[in-house]
Amino acid sequence: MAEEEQVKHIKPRYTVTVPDAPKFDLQSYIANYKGRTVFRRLYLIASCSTVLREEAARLAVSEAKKGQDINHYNDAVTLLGSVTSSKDTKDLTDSAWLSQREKQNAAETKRLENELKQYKNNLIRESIRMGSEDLGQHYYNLGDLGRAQTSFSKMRDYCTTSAHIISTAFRMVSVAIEQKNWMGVQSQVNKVRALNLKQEEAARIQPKISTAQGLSYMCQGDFMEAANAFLSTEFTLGDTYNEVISSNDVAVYGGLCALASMSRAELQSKVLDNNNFRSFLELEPHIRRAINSFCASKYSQCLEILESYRADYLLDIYLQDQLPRIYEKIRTRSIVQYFAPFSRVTLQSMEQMFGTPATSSASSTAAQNGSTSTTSPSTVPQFQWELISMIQSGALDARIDLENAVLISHEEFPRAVMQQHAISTVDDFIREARIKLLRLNAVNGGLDVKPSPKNAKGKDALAGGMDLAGMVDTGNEGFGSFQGQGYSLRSGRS
Amino acid sequence: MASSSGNNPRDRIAACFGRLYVALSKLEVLAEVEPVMDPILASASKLDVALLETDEEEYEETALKVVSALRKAQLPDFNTLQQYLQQLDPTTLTIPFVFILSSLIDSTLSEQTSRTLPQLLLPEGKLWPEITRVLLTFDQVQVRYVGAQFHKIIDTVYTGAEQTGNFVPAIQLIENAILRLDHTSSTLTISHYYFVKLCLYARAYNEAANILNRPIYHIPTSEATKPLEKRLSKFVCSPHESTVAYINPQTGLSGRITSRVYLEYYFLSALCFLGMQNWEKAQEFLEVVLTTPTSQNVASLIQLEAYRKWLLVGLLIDGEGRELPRSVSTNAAKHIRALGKPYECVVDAFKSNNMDTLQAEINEGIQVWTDDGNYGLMTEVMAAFRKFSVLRLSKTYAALPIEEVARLTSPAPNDAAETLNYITMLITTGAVQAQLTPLSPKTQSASLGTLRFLPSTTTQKSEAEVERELAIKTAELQILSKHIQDYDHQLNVNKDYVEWLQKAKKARDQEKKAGDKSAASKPFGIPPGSGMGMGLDVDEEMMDDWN
Repeated sequence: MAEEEQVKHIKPRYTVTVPDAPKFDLQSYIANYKGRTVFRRLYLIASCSTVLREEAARLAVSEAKKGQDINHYNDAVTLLGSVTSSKDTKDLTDSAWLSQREKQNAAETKRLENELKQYKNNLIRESIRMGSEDLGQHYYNLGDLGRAQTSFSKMRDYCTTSAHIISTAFRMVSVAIEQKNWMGVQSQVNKVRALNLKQEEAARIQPKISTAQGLSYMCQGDFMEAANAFLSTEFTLGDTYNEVISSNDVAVYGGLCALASMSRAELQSKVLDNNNFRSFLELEPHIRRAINSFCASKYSQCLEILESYRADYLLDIYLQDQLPRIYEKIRTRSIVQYFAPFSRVTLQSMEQMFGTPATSSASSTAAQNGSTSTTSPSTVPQFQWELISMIQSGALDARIDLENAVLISHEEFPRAVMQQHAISTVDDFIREARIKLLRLNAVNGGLDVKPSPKNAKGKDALAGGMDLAGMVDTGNEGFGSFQGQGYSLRSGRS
Repeated sequence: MASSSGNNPRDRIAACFGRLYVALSKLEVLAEVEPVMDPILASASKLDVALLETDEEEYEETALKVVSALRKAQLPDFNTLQQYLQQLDPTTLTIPFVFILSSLIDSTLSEQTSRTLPQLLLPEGKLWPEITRVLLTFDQVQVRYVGAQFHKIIDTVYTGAEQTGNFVPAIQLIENAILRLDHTSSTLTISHYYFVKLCLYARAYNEAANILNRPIYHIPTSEATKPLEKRLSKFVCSPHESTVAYINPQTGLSGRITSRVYLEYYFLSALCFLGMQNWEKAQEFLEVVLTTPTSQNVASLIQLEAYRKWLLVGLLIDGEGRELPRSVSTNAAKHIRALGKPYECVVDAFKSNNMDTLQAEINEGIQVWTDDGNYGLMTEVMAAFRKFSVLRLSKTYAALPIEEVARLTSPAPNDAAETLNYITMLITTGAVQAQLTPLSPKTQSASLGTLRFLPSTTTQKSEAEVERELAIKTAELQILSKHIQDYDHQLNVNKDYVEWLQKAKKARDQEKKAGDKSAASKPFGIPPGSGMGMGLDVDEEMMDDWN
């Protein structure tokens, strides 16, 4: 059952189509990873990239055959059948392997479950822990993430040393990442953080913890925190966390998140001058070039570099969802930063500098604006429209002068703003205080609205209080004069 | 009579009056009255400023004596008394004058079978000159001893105005009476209620503002003022810090303030401000109605009316709906919100920034708005929507062609000429700080012109202006804080509060006993029996209330 769910879970996920050829070489790219992520990455590329899909699908099939997950195999074969150019699609499925695998899996599950049962009867904690771990890992390999998670969380109860807790946490992180349960990742990371570890131990797991955390922040859209997490990752990461992330990825994610969230000064001090992160950046020199040009105010260059890698990043398993937002943010920030030193800039020169927004980000911007405003963007030049939506969302503090076609910076006079603020605060306070004082007076004077005397015996003549049930039908008599007043008010004004 | 001696101005006026009296005393009718009234008038005439300044006790005694003598006195018949009254001076002899006038009113009313007032109490009637005279010139100290009678006169004026539809003289008289009694107008009286009601009838909104703009700080119900009596050991005639000391149900000057009167007063005042299109003030007054405490599971119909108007007024002020104030009781809020639903829909439509939605929502409920008497406000809301749309443009654009403005904000997006007129109107009324420039030579298009929003520098206030404004606010705050202190004192004698204090003390004593047994002393515990600790707790309690 859980396996079926998982199948449904994967298939509709990749709606993006990447027509351009990415810059990486598939073989060497995928060699960076190990474990289930290899298959998932291949599957994604095969689903999204028009150029690489056949090659990726074939690799995915052979990768799935190495593992135990039958669903992976089936998915990969189906995919290959749909993308392959060769006509021979019938014999793709190796049914002998499939049935053998199925049997093996079932037998293994049974064996491990029995073992665990025995351990539990014997009440040996360490054995129970190991048994649960084995079972969990087995489920994980089968792709039954729900049960894997249950096993691992049972295992936690039998942990005795901090090393155990750490290994449990990392296993659960792996499961949570595959489930895209980012809050789960976060909570596991926090659990490990809370442990009191020896220095060497802490140094050993630091890179993995930081990257897991960074990943979860990034996928939740908190780019500032994500950047900080990636930037603090020690270069000792190497290939130790290949089942999730490679060092190259850290460089790319860290760099992009930093560009999307940090000021130029921060980029300089936290990214470029960061000795540790520099080692990462050397793996992906174009990211360093992009950041360098952003810091040097060469925004169009920076955007150009990023744009040329768009296809690559859209084929990344974690970046795919977030990339449009990250790129849009970087673009917005570039425009804001570009405009910062000016008091007015012609729209024309800005458009030359930045060009029209790339298709995907433009369509998302337009969609956003369509919901907030009644205007149709078709009649307005696209770049101008982008500026308008930036101003309206508060990202850009400027005004557009359509007559002269310039963008004018918004000037404010702190003193005047402050004075205005002070006066309005006082006004609000006085107003509020008076109302409250009156309310106190009313409470003290016994003026509360009470039910009408009809309903409450012995309470005389508090005519102001009419309970609403009675009012709907009879209330109008007592209230006629007000309604009349309302009418006369209206005619008085018009 | 007091005509014999004295140099102060009042005595001189009295002397003049005395001469008049002598001339008229030849009339025989007066001979009847004199023996009865003379001794009373003699002692009443002692009540002057000099006495008040030197001996308050004596003043009070004399005044009370005059009142009781007047009560006992066998007053002659109507005509005699009325002629006699014509010669009395309402300023120096306020007590007898008010007393006699009110008994005259009483006797006419007792002859009346229907509920309408007889001709002679109405404007142009026989007693009207006396009524006018006393309300314009009564003595504000003496009147405190005949509050109930004084109140009857105001009552008569109000009822007469309602009956005849001749509101203006009544409005002027009552306004004068309120301010003469209490120039800060900080204590709510029935006269306030009459006043605002008459102003609404007469649509004299601007006249109403003179009273309504003076904030009310006291509501003299007997529940609120009775506990104060013992604390105010001074005499009624003494100069008091707050007017509630003599304008209360005990003196009769306030009349009987009920929950209904309170709600209506604030609601009607809000209507006045709506009539003036002073949305901020109207909102403040409506909020008073909304925050009126309610007991049990009820809400007032007036509160519902107020809520409906309050929602719309919020939109008119800044185009943003706002949350109900937190001090509205949850039960009441539940009821009024359930019945105010159509209005909440309009607010949502307004906030959605979509003109068609808003228009549809308003059209949908036309019958509802008309029935509720809010149709006028609705048209204001619709107009405000367009205004705020234009204002919002100034956040995005520094300048843009009229055609663009029409496309973005007008109900007729293609009619630029109409938009041009509309913008011109907004600029001339000062709603939008902007300039219209005719077709610029640079652009070749057939534009009608350009709307250019002025930078905020041009609307900035000068330093001197700001300073003056701040000074005004400071003064206002000082007055306010004085009232808050006063009120704090008043609450000290509140019965519930005293009971609470007792309970708290008991609890503390018990705690102390328990504490003594377990631990000898806590480092930061309240020292036993210390007033300080108590005071602090009390303050915190008050603060909680305020927040």
